[in-house]
Amino acid sequence: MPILVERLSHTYLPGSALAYPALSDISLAVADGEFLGIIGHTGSGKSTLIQHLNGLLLPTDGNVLVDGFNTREKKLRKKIRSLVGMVFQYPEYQLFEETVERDVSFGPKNMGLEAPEIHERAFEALRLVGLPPEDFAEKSPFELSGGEKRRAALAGILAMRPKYLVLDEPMAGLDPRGRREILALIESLRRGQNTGIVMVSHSMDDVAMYADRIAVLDQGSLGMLGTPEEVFSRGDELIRMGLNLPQATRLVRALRERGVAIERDYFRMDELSQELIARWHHDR
Amino acid sequence: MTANISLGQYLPGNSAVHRLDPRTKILLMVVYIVIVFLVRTLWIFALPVLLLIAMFLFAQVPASYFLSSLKPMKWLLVFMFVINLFATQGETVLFQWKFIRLTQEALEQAVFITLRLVLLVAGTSILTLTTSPIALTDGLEKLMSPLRKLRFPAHELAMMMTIALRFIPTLLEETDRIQKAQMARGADFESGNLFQRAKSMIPILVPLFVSAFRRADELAMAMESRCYHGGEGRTRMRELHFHVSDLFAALLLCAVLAGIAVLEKLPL
Ligand SMILES: Nc1ncnc2c1ncn2[C@@H]1O[C@H](COP(=O)(O)OP(=O)(O)OP(=O)(O)O)[C@@H](O)[C@H]1O
Ligand SMILES: [Mg+2]
Repeated sequence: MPILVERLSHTYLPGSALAYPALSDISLAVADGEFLGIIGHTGSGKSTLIQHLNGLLLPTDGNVLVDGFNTREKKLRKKIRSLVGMVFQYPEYQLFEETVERDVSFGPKNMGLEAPEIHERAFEALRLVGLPPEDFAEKSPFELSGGEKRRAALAGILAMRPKYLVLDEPMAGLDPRGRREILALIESLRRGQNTGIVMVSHSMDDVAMYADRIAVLDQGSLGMLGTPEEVFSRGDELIRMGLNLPQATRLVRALRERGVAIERDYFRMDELSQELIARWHHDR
Repeated sequence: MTANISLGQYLPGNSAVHRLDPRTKILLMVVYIVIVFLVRTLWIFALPVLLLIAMFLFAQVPASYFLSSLKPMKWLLVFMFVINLFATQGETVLFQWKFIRLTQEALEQAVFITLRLVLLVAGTSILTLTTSPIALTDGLEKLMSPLRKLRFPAHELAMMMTIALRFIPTLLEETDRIQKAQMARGADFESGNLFQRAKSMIPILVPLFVSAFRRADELAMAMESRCYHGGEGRTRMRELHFHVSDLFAALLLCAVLAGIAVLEKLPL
């Protein structure tokens, strides 16, 4: 069963002088095991949208159904939050316990699991994010490095074994290797556990590479929704929305301007480089 | 949780009231408070009410801000009204049912107190709505500066206030964010007894303090690296100047004050 967003609108501080309509009339679905990328200019409402997916924010209009459970129903919220794991931007600032293991156990404990199961999940999650529990479980989360904190925080969500994982710019401020590892981890969760992924990202290359579908938010409305091919073939519109194109797409455009005839559009560097190498061999 | 904090919010603009010197506004706010407390007759309340309306008009603040400044106070207002209604002793009984007794004096008292509170809150909100926090603390510093002769740390106090004001929204935002992050991990802040609820605040308070200290550290470092060393010999980018409009505003309020003082004394 999917996450269904039906005609969602959200206004901050409704009915006051400061009312601000952040989202209007958004409809989309996230299927099991699907990777949905969300892109949009700063302030376009990406964070607002994803906070609806586990009932942290409630729609002013419309509904959000997670596996058929409406987020408006208070009784279901705990259930929904264990189904939908949410990783905020800079999640390391949510660490609070004395040891990494206890912090990672916070989520499973709130789910009411038994101690042995909690312990097992915490260790498994730590291993998944690349923090060997033998070395890290007993450390204080505050003595970790920035990247390690990020992983520990991520482990805290993974230990809940969510069916969907929602991430708000999970790679912001990480080094290139950290980025690759986090992306690889997300991808392996999807392949291994069929976890549905919703990822907000400012990196067009990352969403082009991994997403099955991309939602483009533009000033609170759903500007586009489609496969990376569909979205990135409308390059001029994206640029007008203050967004960019993936490197490969930009390179194709630049080459065409210089008279190199490339028939189809590319949006992934690996595919484009193969094409270019093939051409080069051919021309020789 | 952090949704309806409009108390102490600045609404940028360029109205006559916005352009007044912050010192004038602070002093006149004191005059205004005196005015509100001076009134003891119901019909004379018309004067401060008119004054308040005039202030909102001159400040070009939408009326909706008037309501939202009262919103956080609504229960206090109701509470004050009810308490005064039934706790005030009086002679002229309007209504009696068993031990519930309503008197003319109590009704008047309740209306007075409530009206006064409304006038105070709405009036002072004009000050914060039309004066940026920086201008406000600048004004306070200037007003307090004669006290420096007595070794009173006027500049330091003003700087502390500026920083505190600057970081209130940041801290509220941060609280909101941390709270959401912990709720996403299934934290529950709403159920359980008092002790359990207090305990459920730990996952919010620890990260909040950690980040507040980190911020304080960073800010101190940033200030020092820009050669901040207290108020000694420090000049200002924006000097404060009184204008003709400050005089007019002062005359207006003093006139109202005098008017009320006279009217209250007259045997009407
Ligand atoms: N708590 C809030 N109260 C009022 N307005 C808000 C609140 N949170 C966000 N907004 C406003 O809603 C709009 C959308 O914000 P949102 O955080 O969803 O943007 P975003 O797409 O995530 O941007 P970014 O890329 O910078 O993270 C912004 O204009 C913002 O000012
Ligand atoms: Mg955001």
